Amino acid sequence: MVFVGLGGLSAFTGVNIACVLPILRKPFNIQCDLLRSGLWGIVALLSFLGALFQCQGGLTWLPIFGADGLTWSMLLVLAIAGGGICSHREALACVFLGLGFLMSSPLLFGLLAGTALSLLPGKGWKALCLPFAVLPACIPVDSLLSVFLLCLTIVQTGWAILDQRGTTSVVPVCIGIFLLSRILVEYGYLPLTIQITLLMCCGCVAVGGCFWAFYAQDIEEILCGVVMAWYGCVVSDLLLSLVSTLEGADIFGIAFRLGLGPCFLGLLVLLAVAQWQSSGAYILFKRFFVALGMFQGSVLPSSGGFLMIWSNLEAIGASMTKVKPALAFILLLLATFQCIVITCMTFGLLRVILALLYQNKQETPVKEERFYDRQISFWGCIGGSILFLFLPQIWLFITRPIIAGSMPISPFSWDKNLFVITLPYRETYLIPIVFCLLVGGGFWGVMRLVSLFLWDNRQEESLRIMPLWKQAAPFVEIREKKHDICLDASGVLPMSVALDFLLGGCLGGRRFIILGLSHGDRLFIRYCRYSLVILRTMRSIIFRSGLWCDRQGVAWILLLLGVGLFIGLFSST
Amino acid sequence: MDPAVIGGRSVYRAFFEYMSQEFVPTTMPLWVWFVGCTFALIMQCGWIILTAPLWTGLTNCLSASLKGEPSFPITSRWRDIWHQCYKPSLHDKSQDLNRLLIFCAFVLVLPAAIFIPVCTLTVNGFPVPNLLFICSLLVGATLMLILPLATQGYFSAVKASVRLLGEGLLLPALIPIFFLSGGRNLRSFFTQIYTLSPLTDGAAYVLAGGAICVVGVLNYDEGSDESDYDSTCLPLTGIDKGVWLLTSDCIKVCWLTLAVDIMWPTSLAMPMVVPGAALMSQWFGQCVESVGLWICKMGIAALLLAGVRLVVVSSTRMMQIKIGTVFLLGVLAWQMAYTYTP
Repeated sequence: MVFVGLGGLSAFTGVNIACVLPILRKPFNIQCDLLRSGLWGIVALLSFLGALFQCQGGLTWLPIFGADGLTWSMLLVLAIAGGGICSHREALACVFLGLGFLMSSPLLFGLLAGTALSLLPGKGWKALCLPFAVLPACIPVDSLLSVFLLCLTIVQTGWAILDQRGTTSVVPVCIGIFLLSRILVEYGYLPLTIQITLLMCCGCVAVGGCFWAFYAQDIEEILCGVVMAWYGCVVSDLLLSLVSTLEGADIFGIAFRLGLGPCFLGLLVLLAVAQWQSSGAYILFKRFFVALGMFQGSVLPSSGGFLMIWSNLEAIGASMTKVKPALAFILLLLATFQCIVITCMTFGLLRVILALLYQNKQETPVKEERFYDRQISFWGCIGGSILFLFLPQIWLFITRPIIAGSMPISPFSWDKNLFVITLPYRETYLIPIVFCLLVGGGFWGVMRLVSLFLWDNRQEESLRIMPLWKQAAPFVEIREKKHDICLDASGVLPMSVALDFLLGGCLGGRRFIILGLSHGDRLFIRYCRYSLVILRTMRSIIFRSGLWCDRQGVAWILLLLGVGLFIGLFSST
Repeated sequence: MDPAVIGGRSVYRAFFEYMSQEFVPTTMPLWVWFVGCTFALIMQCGWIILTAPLWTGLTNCLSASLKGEPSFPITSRWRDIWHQCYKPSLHDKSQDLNRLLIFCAFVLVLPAAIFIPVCTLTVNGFPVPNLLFICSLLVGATLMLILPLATQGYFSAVKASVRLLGEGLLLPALIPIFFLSGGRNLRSFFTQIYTLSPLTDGAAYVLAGGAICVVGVLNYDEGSDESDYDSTCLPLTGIDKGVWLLTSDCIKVCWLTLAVDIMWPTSLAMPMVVPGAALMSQWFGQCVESVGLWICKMGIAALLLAGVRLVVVSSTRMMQIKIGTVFLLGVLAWQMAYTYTP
């Protein structure tokens, strides 16, 4: 216990020195980066050990330090993220936050986390605003302002994600989750109206993330949107598990922990890989990382995203028993909303993966930089996400202090149920490894069959390469044009336009983009500054919604019919 | 009995009980049971793969005769797929991703074709997924089929993105039906609704089946103008296109089979708990009967689909109607079931 505590502290000190002292950096740039990654690796390992062996109170002999179980699991996530960070400022923010996790006093945590939050944007008025997110840690729970400040925390930490690039996005996520899980435990139970208000804040964050994932033009911006959407979804689970009296509160806790596991590690891989430009031998590695990250965030069965949907549905299904029909209907809508968010995350990831693939086709020489030192964090994330997907009980065991609930199986007792996710009070279970093996085997078998019977004799004929539209034309060899696709994802998978089409044009197509969503929070500022614009927009929204209602005649009839039947069914019982 | 056999039995039994977390009730040697059941599941998968293009051919025929156009024979779709598979492939290196996607889609459809009951409920001891699992598989496979269209760029990308988004949002639209099934696996779900009357307490499930039927039927597929556009713009040739056509047929048949199973579960054979010789033959008889019924049901579905093709609606509008109708029907079904089992 002492070893873990002391080791963690000394590694932190090392990281701090490596980040701050410029003397070390100038002559030995590479070695310094390697040193920093290595130190983060040690921190990750120690926090993993700390979480596994429950080293609670290991640092209490130092007056201001107090580490409990929650600290270790959050440190583990932070350390994995810290390995992929480039700039000193971001690394310093990570170190501050890590120290904040180890503090026993909420005030000290608030101070350090607030400093980290203001360090992230670096300058500007955002750096001034963001530290207000940690205010709930500094006021008593029974204060009148506390609920309002909790809403502010959720929105501001979500907002802070958008400014970050790469793995730094994890810092606001960690602050938000740590803070909320500590404070909400103190509340115990909150009235329904407050629960709904907090859930709406989470919903705003998730919807903002989805829009960002659809509208953003840059790969890293899209990824930030995806992380923001994920954060909104996960925090809503945390809320429901801690402050609600629903039957499925325990399962919400498991859903939260599963969301923090394989899915998040997969996203972390993508965040790190998106910053890394490479060519040559490392492209294969990169494709492997990207494909696995994409899989973990998608809705395909047995992936991290699927685990989130599944556990959410089970939790809400369990909560629906013994509640009033109206509340059951609200829960149904909540489940649908969460599923929409995760599906939109998948589309955001699709945009990212396609943009990354096109990026590789560029023939400009790319500097082979910083591959070796970041490999530790890449492999850490990949290994972690695969391990925790196939042995989910280990992850549930590590993160058990976050939410008190049913005791997971200890990984030291080698039990067959380590592979199985079981839920309290439910008959259902899931074994991700079985399905992955089944599909893997199926894929191998199909490819083998096809190559045996169909491909082998066609290999030579397929060498004649030509674009599809020239298939019937006489064969003329033309020098292949260079791909002129730029680094951003603007031309890839126009989901924003698709969303506009599907919603019947109510978003206003390109105008929506030009107005400022793609340029961050400028939209908000502009609207606040010019009230005339607000009036004009309101009017246009009214006209547009009127037009839309006019055009959606059939859909409205169907909807009204459904509503009528629905109300009838309610009133009849 | 010699110890090796006993050892073998215990290993098999442990394996199945572990896989399915339930007791395997059988009196016959377990390896016979294992081989027989696996063979039956593979047969079912093969049956769906073989009949799916025939079903599309039948739909094309019916649609053509309803429109008053000359039609191709029912086997035309199979011939097309076969022809594509043996056509020289004009494969571009940049299309490796497309090939990977198409084959992944095909592989994802296989488990769905194995686990959706065609003639009988899966026998005890085999792991059976739940409705969410099957629907995610089918939605995932559909998305993979559309992706090659969406990566082409320009106008095709916009159209394909609309389809991609619409098909993806089907998963949230199906949420009320997942709640209706209560998260149980398909076997226990069908066992639960097996004896319900479709007019009274089972009406909700008929509605839910209708919602899933809408997913399979409200589609622009081969034969209509929209999808001619799709298949001509598809950047695939040779075997890739053959597999694309086959997979899209299989997905439709899987959706419709699932829908008719939920609507009318009594048409499926129920495997007995302890098989004996007399019961076994009875079960086989029921299976044969169910296959006949399945053919009839799919014939009706083909007629329905041919009728839908007469309606002229743009693909975007079709997608909107599809998502809205599925969600609405699902909510109604859930509500009806909620009144019965609060």
